[in-house]
Amino acid sequence: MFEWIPAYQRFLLDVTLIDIILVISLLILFQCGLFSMATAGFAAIGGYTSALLVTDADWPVPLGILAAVFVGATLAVSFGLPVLRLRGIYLALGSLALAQVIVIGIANVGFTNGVFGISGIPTEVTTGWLVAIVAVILLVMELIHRSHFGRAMKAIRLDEHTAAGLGINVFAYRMATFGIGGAMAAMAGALEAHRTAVISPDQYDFGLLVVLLTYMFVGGVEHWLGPVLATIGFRILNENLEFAGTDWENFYYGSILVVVMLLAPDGLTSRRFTQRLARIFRRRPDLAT
Amino acid sequence: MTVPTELLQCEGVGRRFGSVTAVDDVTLGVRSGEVLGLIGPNGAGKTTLVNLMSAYLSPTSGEIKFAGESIAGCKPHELARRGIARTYQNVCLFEQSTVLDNVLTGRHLGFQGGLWQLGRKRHREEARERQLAVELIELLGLAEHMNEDVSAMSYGLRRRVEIARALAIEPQLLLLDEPTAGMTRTESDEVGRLIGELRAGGMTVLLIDHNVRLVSETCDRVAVLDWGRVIAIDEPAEVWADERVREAYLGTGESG
Amino acid sequence: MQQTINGLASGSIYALLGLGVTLIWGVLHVLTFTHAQVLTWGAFGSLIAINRGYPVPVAILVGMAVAAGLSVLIDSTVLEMLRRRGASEYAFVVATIGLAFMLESILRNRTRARVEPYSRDGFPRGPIELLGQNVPKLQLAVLATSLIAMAGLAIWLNHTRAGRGMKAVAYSPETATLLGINPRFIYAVAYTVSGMLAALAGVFVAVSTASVSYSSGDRLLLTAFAVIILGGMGSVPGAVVGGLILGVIEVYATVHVSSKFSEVVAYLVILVVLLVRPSGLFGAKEATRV
Repeated sequence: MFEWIPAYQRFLLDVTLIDIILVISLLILFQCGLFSMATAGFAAIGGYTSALLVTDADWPVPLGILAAVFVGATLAVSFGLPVLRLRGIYLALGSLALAQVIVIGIANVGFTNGVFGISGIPTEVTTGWLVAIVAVILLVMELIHRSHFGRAMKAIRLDEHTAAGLGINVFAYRMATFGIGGAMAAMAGALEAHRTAVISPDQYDFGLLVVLLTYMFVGGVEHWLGPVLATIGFRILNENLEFAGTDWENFYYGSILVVVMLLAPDGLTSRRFTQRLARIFRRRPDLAT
Repeated sequence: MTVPTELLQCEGVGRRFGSVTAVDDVTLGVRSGEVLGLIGPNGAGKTTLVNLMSAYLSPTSGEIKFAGESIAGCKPHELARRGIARTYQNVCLFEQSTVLDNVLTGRHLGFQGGLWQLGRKRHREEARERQLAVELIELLGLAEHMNEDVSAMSYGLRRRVEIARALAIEPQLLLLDEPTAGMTRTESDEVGRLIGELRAGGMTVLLIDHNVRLVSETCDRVAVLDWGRVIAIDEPAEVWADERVREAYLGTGESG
Repeated sequence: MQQTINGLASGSIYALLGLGVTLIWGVLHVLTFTHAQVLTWGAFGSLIAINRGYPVPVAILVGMAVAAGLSVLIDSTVLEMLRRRGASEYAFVVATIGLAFMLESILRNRTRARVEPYSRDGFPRGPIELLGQNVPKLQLAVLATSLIAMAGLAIWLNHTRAGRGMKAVAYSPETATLLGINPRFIYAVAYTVSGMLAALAGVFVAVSTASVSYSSGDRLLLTAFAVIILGGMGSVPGAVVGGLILGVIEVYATVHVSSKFSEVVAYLVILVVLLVRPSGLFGAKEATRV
């Protein structure tokens, strides 16, 4: 279906689509007021689950990806159950530790082939698959956004105690989104494994999280469209910037994060920020007179 | 003479924070359909009692019953579902959101449709709930502020938004924690009128307020809390005449 | 015995790190993801001084000055702006993650990602006989210096004006202001002390491995978090005990399980403590939601 696109552009499209799934997995948690840093860990779990089942146990690829989704969701829920009852900062720390344990664990046990990773994974995932999956995910995000579920999530993010006073089951919402987020990250990891044919533990490092955080916060946390556009925008930018892929890349992402946190902690598309901008621009004519 | 049914009952309720006893052996009933005032000097434990009644805190002793059933182990959202709504002393609105968004969030329990419910059915449900929210906003006299950001609104208006949002869950019992604090006299008179209307519609209200005039005019009975204990509970005129009440208030400088 | 001393020596380095992080959490309620970078910059500061021929104590002081300066700079610019805006908890986390990435990137480029040798000249060398065991003098020196630094910190916190001011600010910046304490000054002091402790830890890490690189601190960030989670966030004795326990556990894990396993000990400690006792060994019960 997408064979008419030149190979390199198709590669860029595939990478961007998988990034979009990862960003959305982070975003859906954040929309519920959860700041989790385990995305890379869940992606690793997903990638390895499917890669191992398909290469070692000869499962068909779609089944491997489904298994990855299941494992991701199960792990997320069993981790979330105790941790989501704690203050937010503990989730941040715990999720970071969880991601590290997963990645270091994968690098050090035998059946994952350690730091060398797995190669020769069947690559059945096509651009068509990815487009379809992303379309479904974004459709669901839009349905959530327009329904009372989205309103409840926003209420939880803004003030969880008040939300509870209105009959919103904060814990259930958070568990559900945590499970969905874990499942989505794991699915992205599995899709990535079946796209590149090669996975190794080092691709799930802290840098991945920083990049995803940048996409999400630049795009804004209110609506899925912002982070999606930010992901696409950054991909195009990276293709045209000389320092992309060099040592300065981390500096670039780091400084963007700092600047966004200072200017618009809810993202550049947030209401608070756009209102501030509007005020600044409205003030201009006064200065002229 | 029939004994009025009590919608909410506190039986020997106590709450301690470490060595401090904020609420001490409170036995108190809110009768169905009445407006009960709860007054007392600052630090008497009024807000703690409301937090206990709405399950934000659990009592260290005693029991609270709502509609005859214990609320022990109940979470705030479950209690909201059972019919208790509240406002907060320090006004807890969803900031950077409009008045309509805030009130519509209060309608959460009114929505039945699942995520996959599409098309006209979804539209109809959203429209119905929106209509209910708009009516509440009009009831509170906020129609012209409907789409304003609550963060930019005055204190009195914000309090009214909060009351509208609490009413949105269609409660049986409404807990108002100092709803007129920071309001002008006209504004608080309006709140008094509103409480009267709600009462006429069959709502049960617990009203915490420092405004003695408002409490006298709107409440059927008044309970006085001092040092975590109920020292009097009776009709307003009787309560003001009570020696212990005068003593509790003496020198605190509190008046309407 | 030998293992325990090994463990205590590395544990005391962890404790120094944990103290810096717990101090900032206690006073400002901010979790600084820049802490590992502050350590690395401090270590590089001392390396430059050593390479220029300064004696070791002076070099350590130079490292401390670099780290403290960097910490205060971060606090008085980015974090101060966030505070003024009343930013949420996550904004501080994300901003300090961003800063950490910037700092690491700068070092990586300046050093061309090389691992620099760190001279042990001037540091205590060779073994010493203790209780029938041969213990490296360096480890004893690390342990002793760390313990002295920690004791000094404890005395300073409890018995000086600035230390008590810090407690007042931690309790409530508004009240402290009314008492005539300037919170911004206290924040700067907290970051200075935190940076100095990090630099000391950085020097010890560098001299123990005889090398330093832009990524020296990487693994230690989560180790520091594990220390304060174990000890209880914001608790000073908790950070000391937590650090020492973690060091000993790591050494035993290396010896009795495998060196690979010891890599994840810190992370497992975070997870287990969160599951079993989120407030840590010495923490107040602030961990759970209302």
